[in-house]
Amino acid sequence: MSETVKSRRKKWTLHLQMYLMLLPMLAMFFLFCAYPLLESIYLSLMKYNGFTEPVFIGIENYLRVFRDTSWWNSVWNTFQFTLMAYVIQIPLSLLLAVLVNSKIKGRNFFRTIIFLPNVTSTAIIGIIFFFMFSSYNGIVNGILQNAGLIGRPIEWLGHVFSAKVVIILLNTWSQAGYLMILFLAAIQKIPTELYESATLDGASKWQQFKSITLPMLGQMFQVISMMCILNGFQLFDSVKVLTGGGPGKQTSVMALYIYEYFFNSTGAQQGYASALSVCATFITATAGAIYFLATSKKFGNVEGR
Amino acid sequence: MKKRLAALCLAAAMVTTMFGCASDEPKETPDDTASGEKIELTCWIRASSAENNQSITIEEFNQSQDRIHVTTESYGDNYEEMLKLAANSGELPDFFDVAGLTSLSQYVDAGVVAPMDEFLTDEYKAEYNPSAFVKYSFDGKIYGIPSLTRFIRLYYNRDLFDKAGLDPDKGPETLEEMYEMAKKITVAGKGEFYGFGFPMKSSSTWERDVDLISILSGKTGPYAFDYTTGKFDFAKEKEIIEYFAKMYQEGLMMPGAESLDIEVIRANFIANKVGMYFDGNWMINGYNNEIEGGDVTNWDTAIIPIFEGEERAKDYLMLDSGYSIAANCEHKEEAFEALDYTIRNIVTAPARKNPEAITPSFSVIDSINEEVNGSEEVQGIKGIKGVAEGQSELSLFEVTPHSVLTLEGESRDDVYPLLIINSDMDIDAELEKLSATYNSALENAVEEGILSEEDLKPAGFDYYTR
Repeated sequence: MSETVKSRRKKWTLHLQMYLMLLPMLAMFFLFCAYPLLESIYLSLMKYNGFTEPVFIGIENYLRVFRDTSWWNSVWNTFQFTLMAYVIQIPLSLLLAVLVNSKIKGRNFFRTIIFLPNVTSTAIIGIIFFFMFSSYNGIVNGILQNAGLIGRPIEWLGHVFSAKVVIILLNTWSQAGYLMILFLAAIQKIPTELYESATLDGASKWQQFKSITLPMLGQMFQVISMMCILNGFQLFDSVKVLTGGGPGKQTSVMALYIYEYFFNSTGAQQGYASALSVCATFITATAGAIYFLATSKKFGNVEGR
Repeated sequence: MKKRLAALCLAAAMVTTMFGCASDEPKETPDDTASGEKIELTCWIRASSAENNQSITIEEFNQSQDRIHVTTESYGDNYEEMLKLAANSGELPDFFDVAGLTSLSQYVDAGVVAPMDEFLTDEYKAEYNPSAFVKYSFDGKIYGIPSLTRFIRLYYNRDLFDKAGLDPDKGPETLEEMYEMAKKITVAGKGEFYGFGFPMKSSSTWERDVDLISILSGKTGPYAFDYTTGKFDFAKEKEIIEYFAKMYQEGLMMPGAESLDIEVIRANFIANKVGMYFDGNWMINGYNNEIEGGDVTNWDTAIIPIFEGEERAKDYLMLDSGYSIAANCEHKEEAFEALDYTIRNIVTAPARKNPEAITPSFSVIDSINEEVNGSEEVQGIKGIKGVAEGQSELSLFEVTPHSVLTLEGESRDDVYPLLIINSDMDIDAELEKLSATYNSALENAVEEGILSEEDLKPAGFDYYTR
């Protein structure tokens, strides 16, 4: 009897201890995540300019979201940037990781150089890219003009297509180093015995890469892909600094579009911006979930049964 | 067991520290009513540098008497966001700069700004340009006083005019002539300098370039709002948009126009890279006294041209500077005293800051303008020609509906750049869509009582005599 009481008390102390440990984090979570989220949902049903009393208008803001073609254009842009990040950054960073993992001279130097953009703030990279690609006195135009390839400066940031290319270039340059480090860590965890026995069996470098390195990186692939998708959906700073969503709103992305409605000095519409952010959360969560389900092994098992 | 106990204690300690931090400590409120103590006031200003004309003038006010002390805080680009946050949490400074605010009426509606009528005697008002008390007057009460008059002129580079074989003493008289001049300058520049500067990244460009021509031609008010019909009609600005689009497409504008803001155009104007561009009267002070190299470059000003054959209407006077007192200010009379001192003395601040500086005055108080601008020095200052011309034609629009609208759709600041850049867009359809967006927002604003029909369509309104 006394044994049971003792063990119960022990359990209770353990639980109390766990909850106490969790409490600071939970409090912060409610304060900075859950509460703002609930507040956003509340505001999304209101007409509110951040000033005067909010007026309840039901789902009018959500109906407007569906009519707002510029918003869907921004969503489409976000998808484009995310897809391009996926298609370009992952293979590129894997390639870099394999290269700096090989026995080339000065590989630490290359690792540092490639990782360097990651320790620079995106806003600063954005400004540097802006100067590089600006139409007038821009470095890129200067090089092309001096080489006699173009006559008049190209307006890189003034046209939708080229502006998007520059944004993708910036994101690739600033992200690839970080992804490379993740891949590198995973590659270095692969037991060397595997490669040794493969070499003994006469496997070529390419065969080794295909049959050992790639399969052994499976989990890291999943993590990195997820990061790419989530980063893509949260894309904001580079677009804000580089094009500001312009020309017009043609290169805008979800986060920037919401920001502009929320903080716009010429007539903020915080109710509508809240409805947009609820939609954005939904879109991001859906994309994340689809990806997760499609790649998770558990999902595969259920399907297999 | 001991370990567990220690962990438990640690966890408890963490929690208590956290809530300990969050506990509300009673705020100390300065007891400014104590005898002999100065009354402390705070003023927020938009300027980005801490030492500016406003802060200098207010510091002089602090030294001019010993009852009131004003602390200034400058916020730069994020000014309006800071102000809105403060207004939301009821913590507005005692008085604040209203320069460039979207619309003071929002703040008035939210009840955070105090009316000043009790301090404005008829005698006091008589000193001011009558427009001064119209700008921030809502429902018959005055909530702010502007400090400076603002208007737009054409700035041009005399040296580049020379190089292009143009007469540097004469600015363009018509827009057709301006186009020809821009072409000649661009040709003479051979890629070194260009005819016209058009900063499409600055949203003010559409108001200062396109709307202004529309106003001067008697077509519409700002944002293509037509006071004769009480509706927005962007189609009326079509010809002007096409004019700038043609310049852009023919390469007469400085390259990069679509991603440049006004600061870059100014820097390039001073570096002899831009032949002509539109800018505010305040830049005459900026170039002569503040921007490095501005006094070396050989520039001048002229009035804004309109299309040939059109009759010139009244000019666009903007009064987007000035001060308001917060509703929660406990010492309104003292705040007004400080504000009044600032408005009276701000125009001569650059001269006190730098004794060599010569600055024309653009005050709302006519006697100050007469006194300062009457001096020989000011009359000989670089660029005064175009700025001094046509001052009597300046007139204010009492109500500017665009500033209070809640738009559902693209704003014209988003659409106009596309119309200039893309020659293949259907301009008529786009302008019609813009008018529909703005007019529907206008109807909502009237329904909600934010705007009244009489203000939108003033009886007997005329662009030429307003």
